[in-house]
Amino acid sequence: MTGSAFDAQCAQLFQRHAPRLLRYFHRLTGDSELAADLTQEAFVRLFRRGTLPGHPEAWLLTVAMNLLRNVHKTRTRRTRLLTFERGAAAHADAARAPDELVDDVEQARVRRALRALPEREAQLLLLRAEGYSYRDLAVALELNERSIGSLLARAKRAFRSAWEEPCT
Amino acid sequence: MHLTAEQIQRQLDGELAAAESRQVAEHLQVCAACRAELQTVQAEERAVFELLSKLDHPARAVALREVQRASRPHRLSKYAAGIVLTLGLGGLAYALPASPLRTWLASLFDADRERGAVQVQRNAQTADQAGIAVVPGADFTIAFATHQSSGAVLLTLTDDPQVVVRTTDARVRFASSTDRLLIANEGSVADFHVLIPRALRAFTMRAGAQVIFTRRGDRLSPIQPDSSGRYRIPLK
Repeated sequence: MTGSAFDAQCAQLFQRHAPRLLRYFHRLTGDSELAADLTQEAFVRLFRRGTLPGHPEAWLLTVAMNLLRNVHKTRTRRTRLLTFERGAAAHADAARAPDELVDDVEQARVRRALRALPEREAQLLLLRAEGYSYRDLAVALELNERSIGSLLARAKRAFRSAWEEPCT
Repeated sequence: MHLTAEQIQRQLDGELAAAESRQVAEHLQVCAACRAELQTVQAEERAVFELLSKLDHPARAVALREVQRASRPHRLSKYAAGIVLTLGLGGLAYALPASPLRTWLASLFDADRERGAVQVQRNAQTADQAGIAVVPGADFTIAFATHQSSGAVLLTLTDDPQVVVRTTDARVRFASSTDRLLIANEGSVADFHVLIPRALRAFTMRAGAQVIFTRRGDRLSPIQPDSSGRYRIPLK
């Protein structure tokens, strides 16, 4: 494959998959900057690789998830920084419109339900919502592809039940 | 015999092989209970995905151009192994006892001194004795070997494409690659003037094992810059 053909294929992959990768990490972490950084870095590594992997979608996902794991490992200090920033953002939000605040409450409820799930189930649900194939899900989450369907069914039930639980 | 949860979910997601999908479809035509279950699962999925979409904010966009720019290796990087090898061999030749290279270099400098033409790379205004300029990769780290009993990093964002570090302590040594600059500052109490390209979106600064400053996208460590836009980061 020539360099320009490879670049064109990467660009095509970017157009198709960057938005859903970005949305997935944004939904998972609640941090749009982090989601953008992870998505960008995964594609940078794909471009640098020079050849396309066998399953590019699963590869990109795996790379970005490994990056996220590394971020979590070194996060003690960063968590403090994020808390600081979010605290500041919450103060800045004090004058927001009532509709937006209702959205925030809904959002917090969805996030709480998601957090009630085991991490892998939450990831499975979010990735499937982005349309990833069972094969990609199995590779990225190191699951048996043959049991993805029942795991998804269980994750959806658990999510609905956590969402319906009254807030305490 | 009814369909399993796995079969129903796969049928819904189009993840069954053609033959099995046909069998499942035939079963659904004759089994009202499985049909009802499929509809329930489908409705539940729609509701769950709709709830998940409530998490979407307008997020920072990722631009293809930025990805392509960040993925390009620096032109010099393909020669990096050769440069490192040459410098290493040169250093070895210089360090040997009675090294002819050292004698030769000394004679060159002596000759220059005699002509009064030695160019000392020193900033006259700040009396900098040591420094380095590095073209950074997409994610760059400056690592000070250790904390200091005093002294600070005075960091400024710049439009220049290079990371530049200068200090008045001549004993400080540097080692660099495209993603890392190591600063051997053991025993130093000096300040370090650091210039970071504004375009460098992922940047970390460490002292020993501790992260003392980060930049991720537009997000910087919560250290406030002074009136001239310079960040003072203690090395203590």
